[in-house]
Amino acid sequence: MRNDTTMSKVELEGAEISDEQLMIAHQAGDERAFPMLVERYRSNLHRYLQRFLGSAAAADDVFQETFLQIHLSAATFDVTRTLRPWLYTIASNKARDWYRHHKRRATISLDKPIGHGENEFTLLDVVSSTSNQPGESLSAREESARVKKVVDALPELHREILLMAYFQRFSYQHISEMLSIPLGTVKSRLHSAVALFADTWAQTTHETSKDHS
Amino acid sequence: MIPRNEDDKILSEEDCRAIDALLEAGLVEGVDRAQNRDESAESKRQNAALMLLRKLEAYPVEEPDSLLVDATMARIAREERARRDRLELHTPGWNKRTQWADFGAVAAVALIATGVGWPIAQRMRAAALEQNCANNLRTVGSSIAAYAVDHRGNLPATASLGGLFETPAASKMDWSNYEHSGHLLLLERNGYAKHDSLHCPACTSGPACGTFSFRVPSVNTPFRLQLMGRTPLVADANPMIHMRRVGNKAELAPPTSQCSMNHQQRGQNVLFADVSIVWMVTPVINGDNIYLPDGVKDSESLPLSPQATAVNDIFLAQ
Repeated sequence: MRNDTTMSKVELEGAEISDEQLMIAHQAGDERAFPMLVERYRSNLHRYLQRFLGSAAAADDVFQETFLQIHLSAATFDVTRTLRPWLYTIASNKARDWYRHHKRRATISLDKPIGHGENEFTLLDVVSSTSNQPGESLSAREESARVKKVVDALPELHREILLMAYFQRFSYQHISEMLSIPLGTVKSRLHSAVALFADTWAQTTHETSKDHS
Repeated sequence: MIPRNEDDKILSEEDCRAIDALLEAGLVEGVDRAQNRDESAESKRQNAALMLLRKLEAYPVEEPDSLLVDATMARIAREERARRDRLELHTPGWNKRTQWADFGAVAAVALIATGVGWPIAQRMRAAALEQNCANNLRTVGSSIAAYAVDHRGNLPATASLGGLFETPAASKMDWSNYEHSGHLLLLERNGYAKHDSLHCPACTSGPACGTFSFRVPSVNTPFRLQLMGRTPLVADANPMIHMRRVGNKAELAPPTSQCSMNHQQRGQNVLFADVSIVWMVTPVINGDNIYLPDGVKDSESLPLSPQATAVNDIFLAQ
């Protein structure tokens, strides 16, 4: 990655410009750089926010808030680091703020402890018990609605880590830095998130089967 | 078995390891690796984890509007403009656009606001200070009561001032030198009250100002709290003595209307022996001026060598 703050406008038009180079250009006053950065993350970040917040309109709002914050804090960005984790950290913070300000979605309580020992279950059980049987094929729309229901019901912290790990492919180490929590906590939180998702998914599957029968 | 209780969810250790392995390898690579392996228990677990996680992809998302970038940039521009406007308000250039008429209007409003607001603010401040003074007196009252309990009912009288019956009369000291209220310092010295509570906070016009006046004992009468009934014990500074000390005797008003200087002669707070506090706009109670000893009609005849007052006379001095 370059730290050259004198990047010319011609260079900026190249196809292989990194996020960090765009930030350098933006810091240097090139007005084309920031819209390029926004466009670059338009789809990916917006999708992340939709899944986090459960609404496209909310995602629009938080998306704009995020880039406004990036713009205002651009001078403080350390160009020797990668932009993407920073961007997603800001987006997640903004999403959490939005979420707290608009507390309207029911979630499973975070205060409830995750059990131990005898109540252990395996993903193999869940997957085999929720696999569609012949003649029980679920329409894509129906499955989509069920996934949304299950994900939206997850506690905010679990939903966030699941989205970061699965959709954004952030490593444990990155997530640890982004959320400012120890690596062990990241792992246990993701395990809990997967367990909650699996369990809620299994429950909705059984409820749906009952409804169908 | 799938637990149904939300409190009891936990993944098996093997599943946790499978998820960790997938994450550490990167999920896409994990998929390929798991699918290309033989049907070992580990790969089955990883496969199961992936199948489950893949369901997340069914979450319905809309493709963001292509105008989102423009909307974002417009919002940033709006914020920038607002920020610039806020900054401009604080720069010297602002008055270039300001008309004299505007300036005049602002000045007129400020003048009116000052004219109306200043007296109100002053009155509010005076009322607050009166209240603070009353609070201090209440502390003094409680301290005196505690002192009396600990000293067989006696009111504070310090030996360093020669005792209450000795010094003023025996030494023929001038009121202008004799600090009668110095007896109250016993309260501070013995930990019954703090120094600040022995003064009126309203007075700012000089070093002698702001003291409290303390009851001068009567001739041949024990100086005890329970013998005081409901009579004044401590009050704002005696104006006659204050004026003598500052050498301003000629400007004294008739004694009957002379209120303490602590509150610009609007009145004075008086602490009674039953620890009640009363704001009085005159120093005269039942025809007796609390700031003059018995038989003295005005400030000019206030004796320079005061002594214990007549029985039943109420006289407070500092």
